[in-house]
Amino acid sequence: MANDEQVAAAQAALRVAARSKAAARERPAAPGWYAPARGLLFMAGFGLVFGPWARPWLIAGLVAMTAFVLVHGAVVNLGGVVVMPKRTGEEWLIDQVGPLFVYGLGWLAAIPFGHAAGAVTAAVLGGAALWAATAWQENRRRS
Amino acid sequence: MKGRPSARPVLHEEIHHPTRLGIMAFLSGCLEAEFGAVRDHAQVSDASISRIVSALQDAGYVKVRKGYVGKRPRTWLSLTPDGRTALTEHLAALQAIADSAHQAGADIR
Repeated sequence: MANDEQVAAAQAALRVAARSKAAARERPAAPGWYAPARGLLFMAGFGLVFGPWARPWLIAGLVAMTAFVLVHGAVVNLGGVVVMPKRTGEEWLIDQVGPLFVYGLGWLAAIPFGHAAGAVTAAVLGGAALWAATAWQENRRRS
Repeated sequence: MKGRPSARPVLHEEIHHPTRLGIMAFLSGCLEAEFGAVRDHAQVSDASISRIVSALQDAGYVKVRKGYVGKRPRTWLSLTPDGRTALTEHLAALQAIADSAHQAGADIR
């Protein structure tokens, strides 16, 4: 059986651990340009890479995709701490599944209007959805 | 913070000190953290954090990665799988001690 002093020390240590873990998970809010940059780079990257465009556009699309990953990496790494993804089910649906679902829906435009229309519609809708979802999540983080 | 119910409660001497425990718990909440971020969180000097990190590295609990951001050298710290297990076991042991007080209280009633 632990004595009162040991119990108090254990409780204090548990509080230290909980505070420390929470501190590591709290990434600072992303800068205001993060949501639009994510959305626009997604639009450019996916629209150019998956459309029936000439080679220079494909290269531009790959550059946009690389920038998309770099922007994400820079924000995830804010404050010198690489945070673990910590999302509720609702956040996961809105932030991850939502934009991909909208992107997929956009490809339906390819049925009546062709490959180019599908690629552009999907990229624009997916990028806009990602912009909105990121802005929503960052606002939640700030509040 | 509670250890997972399945975790074996074991007190680990290497992470018993509050500063060491704080650093381990901080690293358990992220994938990787810069040396400076860990130092700022622990509020200790560079020399102290270096000593602590060396000890935790020797115990196999912390991994140190050196790299560059631009031209500036950076050191990144992360928990090893052994470190995560040790922390979970240590927290489970602390929780068991804390719970023993509640249990004692219940027994007296």
